[in-house]
Amino acid sequence: MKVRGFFQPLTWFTGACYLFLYLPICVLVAFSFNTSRFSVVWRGFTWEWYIKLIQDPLVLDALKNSLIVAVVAMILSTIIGTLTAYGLYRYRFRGKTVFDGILFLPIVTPEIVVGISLVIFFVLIHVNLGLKTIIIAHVAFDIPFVMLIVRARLQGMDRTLEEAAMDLGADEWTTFFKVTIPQLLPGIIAAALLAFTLSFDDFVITFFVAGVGSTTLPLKIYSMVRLGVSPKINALSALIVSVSIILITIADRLQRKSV
Amino acid sequence: MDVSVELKGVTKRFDEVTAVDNVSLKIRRGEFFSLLGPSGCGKTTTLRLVAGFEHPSEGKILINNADVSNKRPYERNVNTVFQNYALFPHLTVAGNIQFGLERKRTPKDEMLRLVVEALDLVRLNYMGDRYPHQLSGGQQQRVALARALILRPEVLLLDEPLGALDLKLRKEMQLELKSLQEKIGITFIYVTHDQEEALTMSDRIAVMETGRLAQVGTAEEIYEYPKTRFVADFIGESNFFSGKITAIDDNHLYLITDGGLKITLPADKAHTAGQHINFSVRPEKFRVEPEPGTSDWENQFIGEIVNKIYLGESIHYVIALSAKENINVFLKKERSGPQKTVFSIGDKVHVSWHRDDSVILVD
Ligand SMILES: Nc1ncnc2c1ncn2[C@@H]1O[C@H](COP(=O)(O)OP(=O)(O)OP(=O)(O)O)[C@@H](O)[C@H]1O
Ligand SMILES: [Mg+2]
Repeated sequence: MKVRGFFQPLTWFTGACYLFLYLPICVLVAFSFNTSRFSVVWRGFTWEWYIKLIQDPLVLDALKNSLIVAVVAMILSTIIGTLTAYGLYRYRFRGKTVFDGILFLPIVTPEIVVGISLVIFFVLIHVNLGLKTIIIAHVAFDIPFVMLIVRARLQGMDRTLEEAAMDLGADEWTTFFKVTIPQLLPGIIAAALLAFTLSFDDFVITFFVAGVGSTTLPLKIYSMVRLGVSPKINALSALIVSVSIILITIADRLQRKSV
Repeated sequence: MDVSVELKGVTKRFDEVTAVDNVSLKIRRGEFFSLLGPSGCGKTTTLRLVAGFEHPSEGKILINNADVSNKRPYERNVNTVFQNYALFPHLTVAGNIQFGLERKRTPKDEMLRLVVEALDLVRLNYMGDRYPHQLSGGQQQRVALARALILRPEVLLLDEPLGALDLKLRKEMQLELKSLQEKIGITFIYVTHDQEEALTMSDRIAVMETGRLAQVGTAEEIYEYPKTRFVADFIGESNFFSGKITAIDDNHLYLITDGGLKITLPADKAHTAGQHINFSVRPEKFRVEPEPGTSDWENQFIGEIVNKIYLGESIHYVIALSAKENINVFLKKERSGPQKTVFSIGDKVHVSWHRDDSVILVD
């Protein structure tokens, strides 16, 4: 396509926008390979900070916590979110439109509000803060995202496929597992990857509901930053960014897949 | 009569709409039965009621003399060929076809044999490993058919199964479906809005009008003796007249139309002199001649050609019989005989038709 005249400034604008979005991250990734301890000047390439990172037992411990939380939250929120989305899609009941409408609410509620309300909730029901509470909190904020993705997939599904299955002798459960789930699978996997990423990256809510000894990677970075920015932090951040980008790209691909 | 499916006073309402309105029907075992009617008249809903996707608001549905009104679709010995085929995209052709057998826990080797047999029946041998999106529309249609037939249902329901195919393939599949049905002897309930399709394929046809049955009968009964103006108009084409009965004897009914034509009809005991009635005449029933004399049919009038449309195998004339009455006439072009003449607009012609070709309508 030719770009001319009026549209020329628009392409510069778009370019500038992307630069603004990605340049800081690129700089961060670049400096995670910098020999210099002081992050502002480039002195040469090194893997040193990554090696130091994987030798730090506290970082490894935080990584372990993050993985446990993200995996468990991903599994639970995907199952619950998928079933809830299906229930909302499949059955007619009073107040259905209300339920459909407030689906977005948790997504737009400020995380800090969610975090504080969860802490109060946990204290009220006398649950000790720790990995368990982080998982519960993450499941809670993952569910609306899972539901949104699965719902989009459901709306694109051919309803007669389920009828065809029942027509051929499959009861409701068999139809759900043999026909509905396979149809939704790309959406479900995309939702799971997104849930994993959101959970793995979360700082604010985790900050409130984490207890002693349940530090996750984002919390660890925060505590390291308070002692000063180091290339080690750059390296850790670069790793988190890479994992997120990879997972989200896969999720995006899956969602676009039509069949 | 060996009844396969029976509807007893079935009504289905959706909120405001009454989609099916007090329908009673008996369909014989092994019959090719069509539901015919314009869009929105309730054909699909009737089919879905039999399949079990909808439940009647009133009335009963019996399959093989057992009341199934409240049974789930998987509890009924009925299978459906959907209009969009509804093939499972994540399964192969064989996977689709054996889906029903798997639900019945048919042993592996028997299943394999039946699938090969079914593929053979619909002439899709060696296509078992393909996925639905790798097939043409006609092939997908056959897979849908095989998938439903492999379970040997009491009744096969087909909702405009040929609707998505092009005209030529459609004609081919019509013949194929019909001979297949005769071969396996399963009751077919076939939904279509294509009257030609219904006339050529069906043993009996039910014409539906806004949720009600307008008429049930063989193709010939419905075409030759439509009961209502709706049926006469929907199936083929018709000329409609209305008039006042002047006299009735044992064999004849005489009337004078609104336009002043004196017409002789077959006797009908249900009517009395002085009554106002409607009747119709099919456009191919007329004889049109340049001179009077050769026709000895009761109804003879002089008309004037007011329009002429060339249709290929025949010519469509519009002829004015009176100030108020124009008729549509289809004439075959014959090389000899009384109809060898081709008329042009403005010609005076002698039009005649036999009294039995006037069909008295109920409304
Ligand atoms: N699930 C539904 N909810 C509300 N109204 C419905 C529903 N299904 C059908 N209807 C209405 O019932 C009437 C009959 O619909 P149906 O689908 O049976 O018509 P049809 O004869 O199959 O028409 P077509 O030839 O267009 O397929 C229509 O007025 C339709 O709008
Ligand atoms: Mg329909």
